[in-house]
Amino acid sequence: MLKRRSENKTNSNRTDEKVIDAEELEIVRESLQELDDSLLGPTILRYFCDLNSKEVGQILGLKASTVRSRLREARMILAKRLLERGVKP
Amino acid sequence: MDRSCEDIKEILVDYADGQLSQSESNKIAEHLAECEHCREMLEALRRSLELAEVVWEDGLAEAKEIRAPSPRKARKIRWPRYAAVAAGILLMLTTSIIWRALVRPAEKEISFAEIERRITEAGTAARLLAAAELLAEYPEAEAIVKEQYRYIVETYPETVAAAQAKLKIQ
Repeated sequence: MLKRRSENKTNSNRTDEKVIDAEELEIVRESLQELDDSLLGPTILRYFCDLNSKEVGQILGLKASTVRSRLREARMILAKRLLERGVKP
Repeated sequence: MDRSCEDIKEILVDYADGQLSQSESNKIAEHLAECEHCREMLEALRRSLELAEVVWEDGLAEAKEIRAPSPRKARKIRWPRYAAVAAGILLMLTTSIIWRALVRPAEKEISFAEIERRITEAGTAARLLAAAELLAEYPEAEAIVKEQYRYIVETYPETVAAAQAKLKIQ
């Protein structure tokens, strides 16, 4: 899948088009793997299972406000890693 | 980065997720119009989430290819992946049951809003149930799991997942 996406990027000459960049993808993949479980669980349930913060809290036994703060922390880690590695969005 | 950037950073994720009030969003938008640093951070937040979704989808595709993982292999794979796969299957099952019920000659007309509400509730309940069942594999989570089953029964009483959850706590 990654290879196919890389090929798509190579075939595209448009610089303004949002494409999946293999390097960026690898950075995010590594960042997700390194995320603490306390941050990864809420992130996956909230953004990829389409649950709201209250429902995520119900599953994980957390207050919705705690879920929100963990989501903020996780998202900032992912975003900063992308910027630190010199990849301009 | 000045002080206002530090303040903005605290709620930039909420802004990106559309969780702020209109007035709060307007304040952030005003700051973003003048601050390149925060604009970059916002774009990085959005971009990283898009890419994380791609990573997640790739992970799901891999998980679906695993037919019978050995116990040792299963332990290495983080449970949320399986939760999503299980939830997806449950969602399809639940949706198909509702669909079959809906295409029968109905005694009264059901609005599209009602159909959408039922499907949404069924999907949410199924996801919650799938996650609870996976957590049930961990003895230390017993209390949370029972609470979760009760929550499904009370909040989504009309769903298939609620019926299944009811059996679990009986």
